[in-house]
Amino acid sequence: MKLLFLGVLIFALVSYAGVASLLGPSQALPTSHFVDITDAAGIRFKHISAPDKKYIVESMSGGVALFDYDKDGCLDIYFTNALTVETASDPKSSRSALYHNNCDGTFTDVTDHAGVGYPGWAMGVLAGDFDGDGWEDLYVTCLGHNHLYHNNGNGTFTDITDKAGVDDPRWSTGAALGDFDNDGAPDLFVANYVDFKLSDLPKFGKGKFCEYRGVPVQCGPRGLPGAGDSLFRNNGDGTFTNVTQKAGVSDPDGRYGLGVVWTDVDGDGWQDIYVANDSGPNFLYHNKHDGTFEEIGYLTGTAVGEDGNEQGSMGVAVADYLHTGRVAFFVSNFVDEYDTLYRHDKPLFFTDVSFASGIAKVRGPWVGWGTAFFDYDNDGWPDLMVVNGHVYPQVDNIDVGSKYAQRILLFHNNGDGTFTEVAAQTGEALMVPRVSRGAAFGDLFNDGHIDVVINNLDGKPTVLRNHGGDHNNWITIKLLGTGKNPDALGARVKVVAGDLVQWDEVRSGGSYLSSSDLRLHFGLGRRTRVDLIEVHWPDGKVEAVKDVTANNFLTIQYGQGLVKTAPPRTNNVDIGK
Amino acid sequence: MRITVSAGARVFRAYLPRVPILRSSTLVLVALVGWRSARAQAPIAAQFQHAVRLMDAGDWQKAEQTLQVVLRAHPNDADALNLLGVATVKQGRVDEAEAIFRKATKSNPSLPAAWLNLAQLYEQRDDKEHGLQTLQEGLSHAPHDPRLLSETATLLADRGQFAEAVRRLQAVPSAARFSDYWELLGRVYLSNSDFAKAEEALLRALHGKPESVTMLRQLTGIALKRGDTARAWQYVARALRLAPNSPELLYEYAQVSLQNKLSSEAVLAMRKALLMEPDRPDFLFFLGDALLDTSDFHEALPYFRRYVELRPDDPRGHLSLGWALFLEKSFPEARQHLEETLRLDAKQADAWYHLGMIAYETNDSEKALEFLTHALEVDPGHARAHWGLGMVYSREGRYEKSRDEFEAAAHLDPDEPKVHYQLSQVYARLGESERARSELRLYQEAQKKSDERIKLSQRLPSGVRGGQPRP
Repeated sequence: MKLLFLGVLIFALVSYAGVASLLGPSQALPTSHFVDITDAAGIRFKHISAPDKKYIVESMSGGVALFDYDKDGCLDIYFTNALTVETASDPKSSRSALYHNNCDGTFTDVTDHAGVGYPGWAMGVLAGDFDGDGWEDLYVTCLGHNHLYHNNGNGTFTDITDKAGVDDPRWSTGAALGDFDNDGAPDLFVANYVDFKLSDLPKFGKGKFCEYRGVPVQCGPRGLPGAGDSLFRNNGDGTFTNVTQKAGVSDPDGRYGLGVVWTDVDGDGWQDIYVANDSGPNFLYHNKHDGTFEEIGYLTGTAVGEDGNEQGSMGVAVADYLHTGRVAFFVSNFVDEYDTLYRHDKPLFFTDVSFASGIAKVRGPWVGWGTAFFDYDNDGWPDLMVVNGHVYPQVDNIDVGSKYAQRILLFHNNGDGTFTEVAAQTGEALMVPRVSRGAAFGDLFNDGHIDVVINNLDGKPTVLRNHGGDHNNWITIKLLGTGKNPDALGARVKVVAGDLVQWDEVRSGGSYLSSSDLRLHFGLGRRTRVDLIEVHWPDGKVEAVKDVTANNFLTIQYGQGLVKTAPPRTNNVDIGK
Repeated sequence: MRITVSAGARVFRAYLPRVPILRSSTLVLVALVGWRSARAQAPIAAQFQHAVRLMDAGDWQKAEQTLQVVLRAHPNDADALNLLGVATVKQGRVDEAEAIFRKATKSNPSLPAAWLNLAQLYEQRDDKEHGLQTLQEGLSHAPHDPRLLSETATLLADRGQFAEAVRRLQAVPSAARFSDYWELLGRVYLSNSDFAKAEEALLRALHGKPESVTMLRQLTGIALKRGDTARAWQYVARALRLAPNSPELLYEYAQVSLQNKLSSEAVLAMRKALLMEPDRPDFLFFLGDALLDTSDFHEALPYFRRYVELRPDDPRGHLSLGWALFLEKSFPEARQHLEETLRLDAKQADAWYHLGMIAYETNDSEKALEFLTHALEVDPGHARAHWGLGMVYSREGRYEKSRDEFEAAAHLDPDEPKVHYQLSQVYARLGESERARSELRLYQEAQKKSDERIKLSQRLPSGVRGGQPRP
């Protein structure tokens, strides 16, 4: 019997290996899996919002940031929290939270000590070094005044919003840092959503734009006045100047801005901006190198869907998912629409390949929010995740094929321009329906696998640990920039490992009102070495690092090359397994 | 459009309620006034009044007897003779009544009532020629009598002699030109397709009868005939305010609303109409169609389904159901109904088009090209089929071909924003950036017009809202 069992086992292993080799590494069936470790990690945060969501402002919060605030090498987490129309006059009635990563798989709530618990009605969060002092600050967007929390370097933060001159009192949503004028200091772009006044609330269920499938719901955003966006230029001295009008990014039509990301879309060395506008054309602001931008969303094919339809765009992801050296955009959209993948065919020409890629196959009941390209299985091809959740709790009472709480979508990049939705095969945790909003991506446990932290409405967040299981190799690169840009925002990196050539960029923004790990992670498949890492710094300087071993954390410093190589951590391997 | 504006003599009568012989009380009243002015003998007057009351009560026999009493005293009394003629007709003695009316006209040739009743008697015998002659004879004695002139005009219009009919009406004294006069004049003009004058006359009539739903409906038809859909909407909306629970009127209102791109209005009205007549096929179909024009297109399904149940052999039902299913992304079932459409009528270009778009959506370019091309073979002016072909070619990177198809679509439907958007993309890819920008401008202009129409559709007249039903 034992021999028989062994024979069967050997046969199975051989069969699997045979199948895997036939498919090739990029097309192998997924073996990575995600586990919900929220409770085990000690995360006790709960997002508050009014259960009925009578007003649109109660549906849109939920940004989350992963950043290393104390420079201990482990990513910490900041969750935004919201008020309700009922509690709006008391900013202390809900508490955002900062969790310190103890580097052992657990987290500790350090909010009160840090002094970042009460920004008001928080929407999104941007983590970044605003003043170039080497410590990651936090910018929290809100309904009403935004807050720039300066990292004091000792575990505490100070609100310096007014001093820095980066407030925007409107309903701010997405925010991102990018050096648009190439002066070495990252500038701040803030998107705004609806011109919403608590003193003049739209009437729930009254009017054409306050109905969904005949059922009364919250009004908007259509039918409500929109709000323009803001660009603050970094003066290099801890202060910023509002240059919105001059730069041509004010959005005079008042589109409903949400997800924002900076990226050098055409590789000309100048940072551009992409803004996902809800129920309207998305913006691609092309940097004209003179302090101004030209909006070219329509002309490039990135404003609307394939058939010219405006979509309910919320989150945005950017990556070179085809290894062409050109970035593509992915935008998460509303129910009955498909999430849109804009392939970058030639410089500044994009094609909506949502159908051709297979992404649109799963359109239907999903309302997509936080999203990112990341190589979850380390096969060398960036995959795509979208977290979902409806806006109307009322849908649970009608038969429309969509529910309020929705599961995650995980698209495996097949390496040939197509994707396959594989959430069911990568862990039960992805299949649990939630009302998700922001999602941040990063290697929380420094084990070489990208994890995901999701802020859900009406309850606790989700911390998904990626256990790998794929046995693929990887490399993670942290860039140390210079001057006022120690994060090296805007730096582009090429990684060559045998026949695999990948590009990535240190980007701020993306997802839905969230901030992800700024380290660049590259899956390598079965390749064990990296032949070349080419860093294109924001000032144009190019540095190369050659011949490094896979499965390491590399730190590359401007002008100094590879300054540190660290293996993955092993002291937190038990949690969640 | 279901609403028809009658033109031509044949339909003229449908819009004109005839003066019935039964309207004896009016004639009697006229007679009584005339009689009183000529006679002062109380007992005979009382008999006369008694006869009138009996006639009003429908007691023709007793009325006849009473009038015989009056006539014994005054054998040539034209009014009494006229009333006796009416009572006689009512008792079925038509020939005898004819003789009595003739006697009345001889007795007093200037008594319009007698001439009118005699003419009507001939009309009822289908002897319109004789009826017209009678009226004209009466006019020779009472040339300015409004009733004689109106009736003559009616008969003339019936025969298609519109100019003559108008001439008769223009002879009516100004003091007698009340609302009915203008209404009649309006209808005569309408029957002669003189829409401007018809509208003018009917508006004057409406001034006297501001709550006439019939007139407002006629005005709606006139405005539509003149191509003034906005004005038509104003008229029909006003009519609906007066008769908010009329299914027919709700239907008309919905149709005109849709012509004005007021989809929401159309939908609301039809929902209400269907509450009253839930299984009326034309209502079901129309509401489904109107819903397809809105963001609530998924609500169209149950209406089309029911329509197909009621009219399984109507290709339009399967076509519309197929399209609604396509919008719902239920492609297999959509395909089924579209194929059924073609089985019933192979020349339904829309069905070929929709099948083509299903193939496009399911990434089958070859089939998409086949079906869309077929749509154009059936209907070369099918703008959407050109657009669909353009989309397929664009997806395949065949930008020159897609440009040609989008240009064809734009030529056929220049107000469609999406075509201009696609052209901007294609020209950009062909390196024609100026053309691309120009098309983008056209797209944004067309999109703005489309948005304005959406905003316009939010305008709601009173009388439609309230008690909004759910399917």
